[in-house]
Amino acid sequence: MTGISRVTYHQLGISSLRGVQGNLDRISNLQTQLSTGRSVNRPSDSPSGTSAAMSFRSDIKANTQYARNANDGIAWLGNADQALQSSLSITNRVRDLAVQAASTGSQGQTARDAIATEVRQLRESLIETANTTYIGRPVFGGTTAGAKAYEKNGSYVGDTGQVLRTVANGVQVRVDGSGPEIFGTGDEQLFTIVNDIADHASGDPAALQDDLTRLDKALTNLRKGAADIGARYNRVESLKQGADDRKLTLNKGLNEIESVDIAEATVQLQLQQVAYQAALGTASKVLQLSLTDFLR
Amino acid sequence: MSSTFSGINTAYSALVAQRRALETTGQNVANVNTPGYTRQRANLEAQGGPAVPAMYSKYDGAGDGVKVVGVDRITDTFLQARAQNEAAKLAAQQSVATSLSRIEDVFPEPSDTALGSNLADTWNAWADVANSPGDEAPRSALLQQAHTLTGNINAASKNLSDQWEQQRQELSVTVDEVNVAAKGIAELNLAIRRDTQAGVPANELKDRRDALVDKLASLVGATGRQGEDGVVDVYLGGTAIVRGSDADALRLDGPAKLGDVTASSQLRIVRATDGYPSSVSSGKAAGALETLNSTLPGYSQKLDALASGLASSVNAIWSTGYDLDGNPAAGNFFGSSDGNPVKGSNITVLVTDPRKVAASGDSATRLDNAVANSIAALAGKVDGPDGAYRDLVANLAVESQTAQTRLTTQTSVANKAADSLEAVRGVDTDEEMTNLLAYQRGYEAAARVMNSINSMLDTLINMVGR
Repeated sequence: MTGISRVTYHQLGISSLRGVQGNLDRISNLQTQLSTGRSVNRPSDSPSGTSAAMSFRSDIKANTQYARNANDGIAWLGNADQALQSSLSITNRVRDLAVQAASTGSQGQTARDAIATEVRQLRESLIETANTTYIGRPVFGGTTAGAKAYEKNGSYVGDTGQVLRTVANGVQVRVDGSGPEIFGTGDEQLFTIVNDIADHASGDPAALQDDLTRLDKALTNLRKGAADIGARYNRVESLKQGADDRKLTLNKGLNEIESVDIAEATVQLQLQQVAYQAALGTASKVLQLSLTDFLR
Repeated sequence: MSSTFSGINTAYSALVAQRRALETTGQNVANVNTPGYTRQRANLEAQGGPAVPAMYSKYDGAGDGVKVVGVDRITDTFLQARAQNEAAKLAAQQSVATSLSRIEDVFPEPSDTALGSNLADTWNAWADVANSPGDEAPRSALLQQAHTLTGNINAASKNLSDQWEQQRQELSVTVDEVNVAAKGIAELNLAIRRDTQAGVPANELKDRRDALVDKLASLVGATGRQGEDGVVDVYLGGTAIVRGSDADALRLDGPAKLGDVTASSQLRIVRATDGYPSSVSSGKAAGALETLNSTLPGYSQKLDALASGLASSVNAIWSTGYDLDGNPAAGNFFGSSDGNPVKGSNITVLVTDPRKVAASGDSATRLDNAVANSIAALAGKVDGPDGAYRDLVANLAVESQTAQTRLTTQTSVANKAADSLEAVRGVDTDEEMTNLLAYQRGYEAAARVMNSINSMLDTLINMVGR
């Protein structure tokens, strides 16, 4: 409107009311923010903030799950590692006994029989170790549903599956050990070799040299398996640490997007309240004056 | 030469006129707070000689006083039309913003309990099954979690559909209101025409009629056009709903359920007699029509797409799996509860036996968790269900925020337009007080004149002669 426009009393009242309403609206918004502690309470408060917050939330949940999977994987690998360490020490003992039995000059038949018995005992221990379980599942049996990986006679009753755990986005790590790969197959299998050693110790000591060579090869294999499991254990541990760290970062990011700065919001609230008081005061002063006050 | 007593007549006409003008001021002051009241002003005209002088009918008097020739309504039809226009747009914007806000309540993101969270928890439940494929406990937990997810999707879908029905009901009531208002305008038009033809001022009737036209404008965006004899015709788009004292009724036509709305089957406001469609482009009804025909169906369809995408992507991986007993996966994991294609309202979990959850990828290696791992890996995929849901919420957020911004702007524009109109037609008590003084003094002065003439005549009649 150009020029001098007419202002009526009614208008003054309406425009004061509008101003006061606007103030109250802003105060109400700030109060909501302060009481929920969040600056984004509805999607329309900040479309980009909402999108980012949803994304962060789902990432946080995913990383929590990765950490859980990693914990499970670490337990599997830990068990496998321990089992392999004991297998190694038992196999070393078998080797010592075999060397003892091979020196035919110093051992009589009874001594060698005793050695054979001990080796047989050690073989049973080896098979027991190879049947280590974690929560009822054999760690060297692949994905079998049975309770054992190896029968008493050394035959493998597990299967060829792999136990995988997802420990990061798109990253799956195998957390079991393959029995046939670690303990060998057929004639090269550790238990067969140990059985042969027991037989040859009491029956045919000359064949023990050959057995020792085979045993050394099996030992190398065993050590390789242990190293592999150890490496995977380290990898899963570091990935778990990564997942935990990522969760921290994401939580921090989520806070930055969603949370309201309490100090700033409180100051704003104070300012709005002062403005509200000013609006009310002005309205009351202006609306009181009228020509009728001055006419006699 | 004018008559001896013509002076008294002049003074008398002044008294009458000032009194009439005072009464008009009184009427204005009485209605200072009446909404929609237009201030009135008495039109005073000096009475003098005839307009056409003639040889033997000359006038040589001093004048015949003053007459109130009419009471004017001080308004501006242009400003009035503009205010109606802006109010109509404001009503439409309000309706749209409110509906979007209600839809936002169905998807209360960001939060730890809404659909986004449910989806993430379901993927994690699959990952837990992958961690212990031989146990039945994580499988039961998975089935529970999946039920929670589908239950929430069903609830959201139902919520949208309920909102649609409620909005349709409101629109139907709005159309009834329009019909009542149109009839009222027609009746008032008739009364105004009669009064105008009889020469009687009909200002209060015009105020009431204009208030009804304002109401029609804000309900359906109708516009008023001045006719003859003070009548206002009301047009909706190009068709007239009020012509003089005749009013046409309108009704609502179209689908009765959210599911029946398609591009070719939409809600419309039509003439009740012959179904001729009216073009409602502004006003509360326009906002409601937009919500009913495009906004709500749009989001409902997005939700349906999310549900069917979820079902198909999980089922595709599921069907390659084997369950705890080594049997191939039977049927689907997600399906519909009523045999129709999977939608938001009917998605459900078809598996009830934990042993039948197909987590394994190979029947020979039963505790291999390949399928469970693959399904869990759907989490957070931009082109998977999580991405679709995020798109839905992002779209909604932007649309709602835009509507609110537009509402704020339009409120300000409509307020300014209404203020301009008020500035012309509103009653200012200070002005009326001043006029009151003027008319009061005028009345006193006229009485004084009469008194003077009276005492002059008294001198003449009683003093001269004996």
